[in-house]
Amino acid sequence: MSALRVSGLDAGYEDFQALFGVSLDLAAGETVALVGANGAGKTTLLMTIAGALRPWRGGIALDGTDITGQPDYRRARSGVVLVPEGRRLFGSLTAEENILVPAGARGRREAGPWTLAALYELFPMVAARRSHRAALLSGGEQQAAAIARALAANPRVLLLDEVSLGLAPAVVDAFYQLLPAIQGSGVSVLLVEQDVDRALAASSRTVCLLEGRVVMTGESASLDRDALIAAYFGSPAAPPGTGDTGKVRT
Amino acid sequence: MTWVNDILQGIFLGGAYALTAVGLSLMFGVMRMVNLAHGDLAVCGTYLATTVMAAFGVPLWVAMLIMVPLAFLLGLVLQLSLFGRALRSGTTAPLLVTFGLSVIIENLLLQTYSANTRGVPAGNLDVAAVHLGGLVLPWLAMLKLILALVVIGGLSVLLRYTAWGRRVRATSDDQAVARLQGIRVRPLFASVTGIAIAAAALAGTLNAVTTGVYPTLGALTLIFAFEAVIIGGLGSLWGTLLGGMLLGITQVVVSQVSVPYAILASQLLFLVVLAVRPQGLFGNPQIVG
Repeated sequence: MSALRVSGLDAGYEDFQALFGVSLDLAAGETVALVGANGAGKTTLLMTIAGALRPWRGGIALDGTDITGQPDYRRARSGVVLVPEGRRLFGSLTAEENILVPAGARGRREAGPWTLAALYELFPMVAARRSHRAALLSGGEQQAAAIARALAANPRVLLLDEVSLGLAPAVVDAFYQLLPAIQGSGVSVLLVEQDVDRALAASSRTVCLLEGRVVMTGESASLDRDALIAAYFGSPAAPPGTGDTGKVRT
Repeated sequence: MTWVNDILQGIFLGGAYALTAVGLSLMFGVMRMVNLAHGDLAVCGTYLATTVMAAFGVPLWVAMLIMVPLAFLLGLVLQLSLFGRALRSGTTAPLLVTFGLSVIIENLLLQTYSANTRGVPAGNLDVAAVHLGGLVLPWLAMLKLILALVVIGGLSVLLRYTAWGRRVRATSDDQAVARLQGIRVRPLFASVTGIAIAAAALAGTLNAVTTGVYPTLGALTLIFAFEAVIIGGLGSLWGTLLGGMLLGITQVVVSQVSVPYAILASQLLFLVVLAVRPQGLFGNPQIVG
């Protein structure tokens, strides 16, 4: 059974439709990369899965339980947690207080492996700055704190929106080295990444969105990089077997 | 020695202003909501206390023990029914809704209790005082100052050190992300408004021991509370205490020279602060004191 199953999702903002019949599956402990150009609907999809947006049509199920109608705060407690684009820590709280916010939420699922001590072990740079206000942390420290905050909820599904945005390459490398440790705890990760090579390297499967539609999905290891790039840009010069008609399905 | 005593009386008066204003400050700091019915809700608390006293023949402190929790409940209900809805409908809606509520409350009180000023009987609490050399320490004023310190200090501790406080500050920083981290905003805001209204009702009732209460007193209450909040800095609880003190000291010291100019002087202080330092003395809209 999939940890997360998204089926036939239509979503958007007021009269603008951003997603058209998007479906995807995440197995437990699996990392799936979501790639696509700006405006392809990646962030909209994550926001809809996290509950910040109500889908117009379609369903979202967590471990086989339909959660489409669940409000955002309840969804976080049931185990779907978003690390938003731009980190969006609570700036006036210390790094540690940020991490304690989801941990203190009432009615959340059973305790999991991600205690404060475990998180500090994974992110020593956050531990060192635990009593500093989040607004004063560096970009890398903020990103680490944002991921730690999400993990503190002991999620089943972690939604990472552009974690590498605005960070030095060395810092980004360090994050991707941590990913196996996060997966190892049984967390499924849906990863939005601009850098296609990084996305392919970090994930077991890759899903490409174009103008709100899934145009390509496949095993990351065997995916034809050129075909993916073509799907990414919706290029008419895409070789046969890719694009809207010839999806590479696994 | 008289001027020392004047400043002391000003500090006492400031404590009363701060206790009246702390709820206004809290609601703005957490929800960015200006509650124009704040003064009228304080007056409601006073009427409720006098009604309880008359109905059950209990002394003021017993009536207040009943009234303050009811005021908290009223705050909860108002937030869940009216204010929350207004907050979700844009920035001007809370102003319009609370202004309308203010008009409704004043007229309901006029209908129910008439326009006459009612006394709040409290034995000799309003005149009892300790004399210490040239200093006068009135019991009622000391009580209000102590309560102001307890309420503001207690709120600061709660906001800083408890899980509730963390949730309140997180939601104040970024409500959308707070929801995504599992925070349920409605009951959280309801608890904040409950505390704000309870503190206002407590202050209003103790103030009325000296001045009596009448249905339109809320407007005057709101003005002074508002000035304390603005002078201290929007959203800062300790700033509100300081703002109240400055208002009180100005008023008492000037009244030694000329009583009619005392109120004017405190309004001028407010205008000067607005002109010179519009963000207030503790200018950063953070609620952590």
